[in-house]
Parts: sequence; structure tokens; C-alpha cells
Amino acid sequence: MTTTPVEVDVDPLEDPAAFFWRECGRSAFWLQHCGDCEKWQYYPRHLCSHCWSRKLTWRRPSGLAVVETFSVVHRGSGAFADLTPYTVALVRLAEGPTMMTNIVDVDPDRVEIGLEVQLDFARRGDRVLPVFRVRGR
Amino acid sequence: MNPVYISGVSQRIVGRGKPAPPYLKLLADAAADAVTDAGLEPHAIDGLVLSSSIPQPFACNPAELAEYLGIGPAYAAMAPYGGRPATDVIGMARSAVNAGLASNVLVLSADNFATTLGLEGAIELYMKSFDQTYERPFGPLIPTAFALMAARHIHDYGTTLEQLASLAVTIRRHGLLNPDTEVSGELTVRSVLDDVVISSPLTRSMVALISTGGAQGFVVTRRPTGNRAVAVRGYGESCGFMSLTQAPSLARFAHIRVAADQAVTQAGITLDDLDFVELYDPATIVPLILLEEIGFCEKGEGGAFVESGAVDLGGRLPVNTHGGTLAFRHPGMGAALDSVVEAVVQLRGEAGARQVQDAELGLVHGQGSWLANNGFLVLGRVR
Repeated sequence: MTTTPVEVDVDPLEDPAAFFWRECGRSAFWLQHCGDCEKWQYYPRHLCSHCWSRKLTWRRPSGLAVVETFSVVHRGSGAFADLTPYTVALVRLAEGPTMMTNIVDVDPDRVEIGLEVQLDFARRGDRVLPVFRVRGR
Repeated sequence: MNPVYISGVSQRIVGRGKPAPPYLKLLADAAADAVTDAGLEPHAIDGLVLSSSIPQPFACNPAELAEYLGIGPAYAAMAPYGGRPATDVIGMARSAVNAGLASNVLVLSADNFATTLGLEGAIELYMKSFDQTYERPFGPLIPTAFALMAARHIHDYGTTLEQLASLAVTIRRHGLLNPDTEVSGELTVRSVLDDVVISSPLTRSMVALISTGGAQGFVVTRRPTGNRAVAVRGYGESCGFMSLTQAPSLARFAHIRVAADQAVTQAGITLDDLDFVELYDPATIVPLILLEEIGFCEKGEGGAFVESGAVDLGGRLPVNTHGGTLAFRHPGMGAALDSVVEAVVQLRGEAGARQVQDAELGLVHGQGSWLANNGFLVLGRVR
């Protein structure tokens, strides 16, 4: 994916969650950026949770992140049972916010806190998820 | 704020794996038992606070329940959402008494959804606690929330799996002294570590039970009734986040101290005055973090603190004397209210083999979701 910031103005009354997931379906990952306090936020909202400004724009972040913490799930429930063992992680995006994700295509024993990861996309069921893989692989 | 009293309590026991009675029967039995325990007649009740069950928030509204029980005229209120610390209903009853809305408030909680939904259904329901849009798609189990905390705590502070296991061993030992426990058999650090890994690094023995149901009742009064009342000395509550991604850290939680300090300050005591604490324990990492954040030990020292024996019965700060959700039961929303019942029983000196000697002051913690929303109650013996 491109790392060039592409800005699109959105009406803050639109549905940010629908926009976010629609774009993931197109392998595009967008974060909200505040035009007043210049901070990024995840998850998307109708206002900036830092300063309550409603001047939000969507930008394409770098896609780089670091593993803040993680857990390997061994006993999946429902649709996840077939995926075990899988790694659930909180990653700190280079732009600041933290998100929940899966670390994919890596031996779970190799995942550690501080691991540098990069964005990718994985189709699962009827949706495309923003996942992360070890950087440089 | 004037103290109020918990003059009566009740606790409905279902038993491991046994089907729980219908929701309204649990509530009716909890009500009748609590009012009897308070030495009151039903017509003396002029307030009702209902603690919602997780899947049945509006099975009946509190006015409907008051009508069902034949209570009235009465003040009626409800705490109707998940992710709340459950102890909040005692705080609501206190507020109603202090505001002059009622003098004898019945507080009720019941759960039976693991009976009606089955174990897998109950697990699915608990998982709805995760944010539907941005967290559930990645497949966290409820224990995963606590596993993420444990991994970070181990990384930042050198906490060991042995320390996390030792707390399970201690709480199991306490639970085995409770005649109503749903578990059997001692644990050892080795057996806890060798158990099945659910969500790394946590094994099954480090996470809560899932019970089929249960109920709790309390009569919160302006004046002590009967002769076994316990004083509500303080209550504090604070939420810091709800989605795990919005927590400033998964190893440090500043909002916990805010709520604990509110309760302790209202009570006019210091932490050293407390004889025991009952902490919500969905996984062993949670009480360990709570002990640090409340201030019973330095940040990062929780592992050493629990390993030292300080939290054992007979230690300087017994924790979860009834076995908590790890070794008594976890009926649902009412789990933290089981802790309130235990604190009352301890302060009355009626805890039998698990009695804390000369217990005069206890702290009870209730948690919403994953340390997201916390409530603290200071209860004291009436002299």
C-alpha cells in the first residue's frame, strides 16, 4: 500500500465504522486525524476524543506498529475454533493509537513484546481484517 | 455522608453444574431470605434496587419486581448494563437512603443464564463484552483480556508465572474452607502451571469458574436493624476505559486508585486499618494488579506480595476468604456481590473455618469488564 497521505474530508455525521470496514475490504487502512489538535485516534469516532473537535479527516497511516502485548489463544470459541492457535495482540501504531489485531504468518513462539510489525490484510469469512505481520517479511 | 447499614444479606446456592431455578424464583428467595436476615417484615421495605443479570437486563424492570414482591409504595431503581462493577447497587441504595428517598432498601441480584444458555452459550455471551466493531473480529476470549495484562506485567515488572500460580493456590485453599464451594481438591504451583493453556500465558487454573447461577440479596438501612448489621463506611467508583485498546496501559491503571481512595477517605481509615479484602478475581493477574494499584504494595511488587503469604488466611491481608470466582463460584453479574456477602459474614464473625480473627474492617472490590470500571466498598463492624 502507498504511504503517501491521501486525505479525504468526510462528513462527521457519516458512519465512521462503516467507512473503516468498507475500506479494509479494499485493502485500504484509514485512521482519523484531528485538524485542531493534530492527534490521531483509533477507533474512529464522530469527534476527536482528545480535544472534542469535529474537524476530523481520514488519513492513510504508515502501517508500522510495535507489539505492546499479546496472547496466543489455544481454545478458540465458535468460528475461531478452527484458527487455533492464533495470536491476539495490542499493537501501538507509529502514529500513536493502539489497536487490537492478529499477528499472522509467524510461529506464535516468535512473537514478543516490542516486536516490529507491519500492516497487512486477511480475508476471514465475509470481511477483510487489518492484521499485522513481522516487519520485513 | 451518614453511614448506612447492611442489616440483612442472603445468598442462593445452586451448586456445581446443577440447573439454577428460574430468574424470578432466585430473586424471590433472595428477597425473602435477606429481609428475614435483617429482622424486618416485608412491609418495612420502602426501596428496591435491582442489579441486572448480564443477558436479562430488562427481564423485569424494578417497578415490576417491586409489584411482584408486593413492595410499595417504594423507591425503585436499577443498574441495567454490563461492564459495571456490580458493587454499584450498594452505592445506589446508600444514595437513596441519604437522599431521603427510602429507609430500608432491598438490593437484589440473580443470574441463571449458564443454565438457560448452556456453558458454550454463556461463554459466547461473556465475549460480547468485547467491542463488537473493533475487537471481536480478532477473536479474543474473556481470559485473553487478562492474558494481555499478564504478558505486559511480566514484561514490565518481572512478575513470574509461579507468582500468578501461587495466588490461585492461595485462593483455592480459602475456597476449600467454604462449605458452598463448587470446586474440590488442593492446587499446587506445579499443577496450576501444568494445566491446559487457555490464552497464553494463562492456564485454566488461573481463570475464573463459570457457574450455572446464583443470587444475592441485601437490606440497606438508615438505622441498623436486627443485631448483626454491618456499616457501609465508604463507596467509590471510577471508570477509565472500556475497550482494551483505549486503556492507557495494560499494566498500570491509575483510575483504580481514584475509586479506592474515595472509599477509604469516606471511611476515614487508612489501608493499614483493613483486616481483609475481597477482590474480583476473573484471573489471578487481576487481584495482583489491584493490590498494587490500591497501594497495599509498591507498583510491580504484587507478585512478591502474594508469594510472601501476606494474602493468605492468617497473613496480614487475607484476600478472597470465600474463594472468589476462582474457587467459590462465578454466577454472572452477581460475582462481586458474593464478595459483599462474604465481607458481611466475616464482619459478623460467622465465617467458620475461614474466619479472619477479629475482623473489623473489610474492603470489597467489584470490576466491570477488565479493570475498566471499578467499585470499592468499605464495610465495618458495628460496635
